[in-house]
Amino acid sequence: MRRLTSQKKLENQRPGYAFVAPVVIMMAGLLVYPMLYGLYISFFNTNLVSRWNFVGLKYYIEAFTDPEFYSSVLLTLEFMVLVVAGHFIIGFYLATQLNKAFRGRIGYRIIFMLPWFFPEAVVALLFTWILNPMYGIMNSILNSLGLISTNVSWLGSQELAFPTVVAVCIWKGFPLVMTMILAGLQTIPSELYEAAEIDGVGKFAQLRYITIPSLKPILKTVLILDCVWWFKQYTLVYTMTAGGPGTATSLISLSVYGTAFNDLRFGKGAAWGILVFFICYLINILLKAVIKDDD
Amino acid sequence: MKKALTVFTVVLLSAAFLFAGGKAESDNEQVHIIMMDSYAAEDPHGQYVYEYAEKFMAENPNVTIEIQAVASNDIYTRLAAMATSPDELPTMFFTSADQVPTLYDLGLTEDLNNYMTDEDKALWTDGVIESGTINGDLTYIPVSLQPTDIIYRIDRFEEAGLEIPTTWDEFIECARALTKDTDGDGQIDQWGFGMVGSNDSSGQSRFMSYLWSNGYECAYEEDGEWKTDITASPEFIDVFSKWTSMNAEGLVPIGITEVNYSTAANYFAMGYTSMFLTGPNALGVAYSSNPDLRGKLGSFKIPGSYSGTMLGAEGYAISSYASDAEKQAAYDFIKFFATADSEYKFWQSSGKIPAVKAGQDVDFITGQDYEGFLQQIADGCRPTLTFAGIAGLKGALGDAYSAVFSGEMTNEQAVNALVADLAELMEDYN
Repeated sequence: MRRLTSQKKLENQRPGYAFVAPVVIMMAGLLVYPMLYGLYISFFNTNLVSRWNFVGLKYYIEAFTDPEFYSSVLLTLEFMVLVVAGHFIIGFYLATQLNKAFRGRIGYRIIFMLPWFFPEAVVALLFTWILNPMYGIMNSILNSLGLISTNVSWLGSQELAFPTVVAVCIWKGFPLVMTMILAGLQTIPSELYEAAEIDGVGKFAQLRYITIPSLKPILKTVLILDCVWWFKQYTLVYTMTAGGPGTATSLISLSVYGTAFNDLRFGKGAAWGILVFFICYLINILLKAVIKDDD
Repeated sequence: MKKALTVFTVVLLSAAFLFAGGKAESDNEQVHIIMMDSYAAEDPHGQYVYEYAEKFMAENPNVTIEIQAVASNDIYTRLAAMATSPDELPTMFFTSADQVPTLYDLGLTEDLNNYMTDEDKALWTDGVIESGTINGDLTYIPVSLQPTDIIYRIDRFEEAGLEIPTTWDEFIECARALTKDTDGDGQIDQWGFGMVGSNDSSGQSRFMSYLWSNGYECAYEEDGEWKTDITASPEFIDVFSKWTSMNAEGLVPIGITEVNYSTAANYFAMGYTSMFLTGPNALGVAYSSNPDLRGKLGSFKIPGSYSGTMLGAEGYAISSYASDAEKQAAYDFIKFFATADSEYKFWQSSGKIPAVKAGQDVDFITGQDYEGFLQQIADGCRPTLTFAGIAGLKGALGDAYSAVFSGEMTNEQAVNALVADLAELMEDYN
């Protein structure tokens, strides 16, 4: 009787399996297989075609003993934190300003959205020209204001390249955060603020006890999206500095790509990629834990 | 009725398949070749690639050529990525002497000895076809020669009373004399040397030329093993430091790590710099951007006691995965490209030197501007470096000079890092 029931249960479930099978097969082909293949080649010194020398865990051990890998990871984390913080500070400030009623508000909203509309490669090239040490407009303006006496190589010096790239990435990405926060602000009932005003609550307290708590679900989502987006940033940084000068802007995405596709050391690149996957996974767990605690 | 309808449908479908099959058969006579080309992406000479393709198709109506214009620094990466899915490979692709060993190692290049007859080979300048040969296989057919030399401003040399330098110390002296504040505003606005300091293939190749000219073999094969002359010896550190000191001393434009080939070529054309380590193509850029430079430019061999340049042949390889008909059509087009234009419009426009014998006497390469390049070819260039890990080698060199330019490392630290990188690279390829 029990056997019959389980058989019937299986028969009932069969259409369900059939329906999800295409997606499972597709996911396996597009996600699981590449990851397993990446893991496989990380044990080889290979160009994927004519050279397949087994090296075991060599590249993993090297990654932990060679400062190149973890300094690149730390730089990427620093980059992500600075860029995301910049997005939130500017995005939050502008969203609160644009949420107020004033003349030309729509126009300002469109203007502040513009950086998000431009493709990353275009933004990178624009800033490369603006910041060019010989004929860039930035040096020209600073010179005319008397703020600098000789032209500055913004993207060519060890000290300035990283903050410059971070600044450009903040400029490129703040509109998304601004828009999401603005959308969130518009969902907060005005009665809450009116009640607070009647109770004599100050502006800062309104921000702390009404605005931020009301925005929390949106802020959490945007935080996760923004962290993931900028941790894997490649285009802007590659186009502006290609990871240089030296290793000043050598984010992990650029290092992995360069190792695999420029040096054709696919095994080493794959090993680094696998390690980065686990780092991303840890960040994901950390963020989820923070969100869960808050809930 | 139902049966009749079924029979009618079957007959109709059969006829459709038959006609479709017939068309496919006639399609077989058509050959479609895909050409991944960096010349096509460049100005002002890219237009002639399309022009030659159109003419070839007019003469060979059964061949269609699809041109994919891709920047030269990207072609190599794309091809390397495509190596694992050969069906995606273009029929023919642009390549150069310093990229072809890796592409050959990946098994992407057809042995063109199978297509090029001795009669055809005789059309090319002596030594050019040999420069494309690895392990007896003809890996690509050069259409242009690009030995690296120094182009310079004759007028500024005369004005400063300078002689052509033959050593790097003399070169640095010349660069010092040509670095000036010309408008008296207290700011240097003219630099002696137009260095390419970016950490990309263009910058790395030039630095490798500099090392070769100082007698350092970056990679050589001995007893079946790849080795390098580069060590952390005081002599090498001294040579390395001499290169980076030109930036430290301000003899090159500011922001040197941002100066890639096209920027450096523009600086030279605009008069910001007076000497430029480059191939003859920079002459084309200079004349195209600033026609007033005609008659003011000269060229001389790279200073140093050793040859600092390969022949710098550039041309086209044919994919080993293409069909026989595609390979034949691609070969015919390469031959057409290299030999059919009696005016050499592509080469004149680009400043490159034709690879065929008939192109060695054309008017545009007889002036003082090409003198150094032709002298270099006549005196002999270095044999093609066949190290398959050349991309990694160049990357390590670029990382080293870039680290010093940015102030991240001292010369000694950069050389030590370079030596460690090269040791790992050699281990990978031995």
